[in-house]
Amino acid sequence: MNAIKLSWKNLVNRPLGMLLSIVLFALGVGLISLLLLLNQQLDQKFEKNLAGIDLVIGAKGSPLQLILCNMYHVDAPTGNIDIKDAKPFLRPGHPLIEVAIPLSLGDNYRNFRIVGTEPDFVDLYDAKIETGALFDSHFQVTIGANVAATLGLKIGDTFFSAHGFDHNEDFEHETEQPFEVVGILAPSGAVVDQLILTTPPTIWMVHEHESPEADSGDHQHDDEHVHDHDSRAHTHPAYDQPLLSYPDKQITSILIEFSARNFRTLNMQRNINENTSLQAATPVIEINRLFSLMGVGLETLKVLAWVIVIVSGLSIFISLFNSLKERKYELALMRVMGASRLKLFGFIILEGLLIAVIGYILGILLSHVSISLLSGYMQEAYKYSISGNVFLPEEAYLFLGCLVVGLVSAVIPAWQAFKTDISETLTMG
Amino acid sequence: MLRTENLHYSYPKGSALSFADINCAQGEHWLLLGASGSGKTTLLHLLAGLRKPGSGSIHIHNLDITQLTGAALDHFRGQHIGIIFQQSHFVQALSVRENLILAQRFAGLVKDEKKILARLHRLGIADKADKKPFQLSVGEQQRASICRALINGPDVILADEPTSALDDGNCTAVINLLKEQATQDGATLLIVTHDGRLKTNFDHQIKLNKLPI
Repeated sequence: MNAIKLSWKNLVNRPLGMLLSIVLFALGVGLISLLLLLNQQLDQKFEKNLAGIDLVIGAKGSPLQLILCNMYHVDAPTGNIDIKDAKPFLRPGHPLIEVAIPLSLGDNYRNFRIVGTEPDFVDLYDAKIETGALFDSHFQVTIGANVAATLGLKIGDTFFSAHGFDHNEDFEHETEQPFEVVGILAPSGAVVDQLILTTPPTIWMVHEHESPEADSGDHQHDDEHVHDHDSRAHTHPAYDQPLLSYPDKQITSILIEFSARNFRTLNMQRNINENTSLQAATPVIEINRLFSLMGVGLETLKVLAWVIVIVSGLSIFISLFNSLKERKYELALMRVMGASRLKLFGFIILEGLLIAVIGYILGILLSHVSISLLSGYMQEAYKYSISGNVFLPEEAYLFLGCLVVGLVSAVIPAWQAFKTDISETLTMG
Repeated sequence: MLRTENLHYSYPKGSALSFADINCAQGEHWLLLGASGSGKTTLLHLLAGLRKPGSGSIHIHNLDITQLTGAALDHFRGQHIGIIFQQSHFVQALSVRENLILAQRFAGLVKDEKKILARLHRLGIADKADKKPFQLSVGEQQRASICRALINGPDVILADEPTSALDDGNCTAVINLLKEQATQDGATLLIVTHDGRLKTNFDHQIKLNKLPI
């Protein structure tokens, strides 16, 4: 019969008294751990997806939206820009720009966004080809690891895209030529895992097929109609020239890495925003703005969670204190049997600590299980995968914090047990 | 074996008691009779080291226990003194067997389940070993607490009014049981009571009178 077993038996002997303490403790710990996990994983994802991009140029609108759409692929585009306007930034030899990558958005395949871009795009995220190759010509696609895993796509598979960012059968493009998977990327942990990459002209061509139909307002999808489209398709240019050869076509944005950040790059950003029809936004600034907005809520929740833990400490104190009233003869008896004052003190402290440890374990389980459940939803809604299998060093500190709460709430009852007068207690009986 | 000299005790409230010297040889069975308020329980608690006397000495096993303090006294009590109370007290969360293991462990002895079962068997409650104390009848509880007091083979067994709540039949049974167990263990037995029924059962008797200072 060791001390822990004795304390454990004493706890389970009055389960109702301890239930509230343990449930409160688990809730508090669970909430704190949940916030830590979410915060850390989102932070990490956002950090990773910054990918060294210094500036995003796109259509005018909300700068945050521009960043969220073109870098994190969670929001709708602010609009499109003409290639002739984007030309100065896409043309090689710009003195301030090291890398400039065009993006063309607007389509999806089963909720995964199709991005018309250049093969260099994957280098932003240090993504490597796992099987196959990078897309080389139109209608070839290279897909992210998550796309491949979720949709079960393999090299050589073909599919038709749909308009917009949410899967909807009615918006499926009716083109002659399907997309063909030529490569699959290795998992990178970045947003590129969730994307389908192809050339910008592919996006144009898909839409050119559809535009006459949209213009005519005729939504009948009979064979003749489709055939009609097909015959038109052949009249379109093959887009075999570099992007800049098509000044009247449109893209959604340009991702830019500067060769160096200095006042000239700042001036360039201001110049774009003030003197052109384009908008330039700095990812770090916008994301920090977003985090500082969310941060207030997170901090408030964290304080609330600690309040719950403290209240559960109070509840441990009260239930231990009450149980001592019932157990005073037992405590006197233990002394009669040869236990010292210090031992009794230790037993009560141990009970407080046990509640804290059980509460902690339940709380951690709670948070990790909810994260795992949540990750499916997150994946669907935000294209971000989070994992419940991650354990943080902060959770170890949280454990120490819990032990302190358990200890402090047990000290007064334990002191009470320590100074029990055996003779008086037994005489009262 | 159990010997007191010039034992005085002062209550915190101010009143004081003096006790006549006691001298019980090993293996003897003593009855200590006294009316309510004569300080019987106080004397028993003094002998058990649960209270500190104002002056005087208590020798058990040739050791003056008034010189022991703190954990050493608790330890000595656990090993050498078995105490039976008017009401049976147990650690309610534990089974009878676990209560007895606890008594062994607290006395600093190794757990000996064979000994526990043998003792429970001698007291006729071996089948209750894994029951919780509250599941036992009052008589069984009394036996279990006797078992607890005797489990470590104490030199001295102190019993405080062990029969006051019992009818005549049970009274005789419990006293016989106590005497029989003490004899088997060779322990000194001292029963403190105001129960006149016991007078005929004991050769050695002390009558406790309130001795005002």
